[in-house]
Amino acid sequence: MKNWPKALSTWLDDRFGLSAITQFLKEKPVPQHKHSIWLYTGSAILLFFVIQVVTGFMLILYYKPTLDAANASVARIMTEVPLGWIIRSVHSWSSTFMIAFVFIHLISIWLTKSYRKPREITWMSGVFLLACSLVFGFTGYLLPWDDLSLSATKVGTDIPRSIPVVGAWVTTLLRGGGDVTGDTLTRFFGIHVCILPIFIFLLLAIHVYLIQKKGMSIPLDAETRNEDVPTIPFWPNFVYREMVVWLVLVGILFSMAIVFPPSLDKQADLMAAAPEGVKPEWYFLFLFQTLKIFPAKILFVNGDTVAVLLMLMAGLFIFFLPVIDNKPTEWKGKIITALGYVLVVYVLIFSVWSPL
Amino acid sequence: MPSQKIFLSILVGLICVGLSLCVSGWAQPPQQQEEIQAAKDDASEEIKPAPKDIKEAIGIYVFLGWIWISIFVLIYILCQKIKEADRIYRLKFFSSVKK
Repeated sequence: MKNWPKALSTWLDDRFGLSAITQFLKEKPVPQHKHSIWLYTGSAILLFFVIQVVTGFMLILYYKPTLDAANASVARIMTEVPLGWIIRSVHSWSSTFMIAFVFIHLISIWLTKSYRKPREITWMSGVFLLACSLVFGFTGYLLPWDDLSLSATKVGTDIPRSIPVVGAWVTTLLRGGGDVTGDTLTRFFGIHVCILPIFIFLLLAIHVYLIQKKGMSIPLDAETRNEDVPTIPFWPNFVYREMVVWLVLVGILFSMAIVFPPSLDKQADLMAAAPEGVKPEWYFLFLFQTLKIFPAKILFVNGDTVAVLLMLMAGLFIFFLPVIDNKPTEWKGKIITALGYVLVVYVLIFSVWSPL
Repeated sequence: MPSQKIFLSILVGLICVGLSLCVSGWAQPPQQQEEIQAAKDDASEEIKPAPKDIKEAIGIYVFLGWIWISIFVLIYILCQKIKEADRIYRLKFFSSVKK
């Protein structure tokens, strides 16, 4: 039994045909250029997603998605279950890291124009994954059922009301009624642990398949000049490099989770007034601030309606970016790159401004 | 390869520690109604998460220290692996078409 790893891999290969996959990965080239660092953000997202799934499974063993027991069950996880507070903290921090890396990944693809032909669908599936991640964060924020999460969810679910025609219906659908109640909690829990995981696994499968199928992009200037870009094999050269990044990120994640664990506020009271300083999670702060600075009325139209419609248009613009930016080397492409930088500055300034 | 053995031993060690933590901590009996009420009463104020006692606190920080030591050792081994893999790739050692 000295060479049991090889015997095991041969046994598995005979049954699953894994050698074809490993051969494909050995031959898959990964370009090495000045923007190569951004290639690691994609697998970092996948790492945090896996951590989310594992810690989520552990939390679900004790969490109770009902009006009476939700806050108490989270309190129990934090105070009675051995190391429960660390598991919750890791879950919370990995969601923060995951969404941060999703933003970084998206903006790096935008600025390097890696969405260009033939990778349009890869970009679009990525935008859907960003939306799924944000909905994950939004639905997860309510689950501890404390004062702050209740008020933030009330504000958040009220935003779609400003959309003409369908707005009120969307708000009612999200809340499971006219207001945020125990039904909303159960609904958000269902979305968080059942519906979204199905969507995200499907989208991830499509996204990863397309990345494998179309390969990783090379810089636009190298493509324009028809330059040869040096490559390394995906397996093992690139995977080893990725593992170094994963290890560092896991270390940072655990350190943050242990040193700065999230606290739990007292149980939400449906009849109580909203507490002071209601704010969403950090990744919604720029949107929250945008809504705050809009005046109540713009001509004869509600200011919130204008703001929400602008945000929806911005979302559609980002989704169809590869179609709009069909000539990336010309002036239109340069303006779109500049818009990417403007977006980064806008998100940073508004996110910092919001809590001030 | 000694480095491979070290790599595997550390990985197996980490997995064993993780599993034992999970098994010891998470195999708890189901929560009773009275416990829910008690926890609800406790939850009337903000809960600051922290280790339960000094023993748990020391255990956690020692564990964190070990995590970072393991990470540095693994990164060192991976750097050696990367060098070796790149060298073999440059030589086209496993390539069907040799230079």
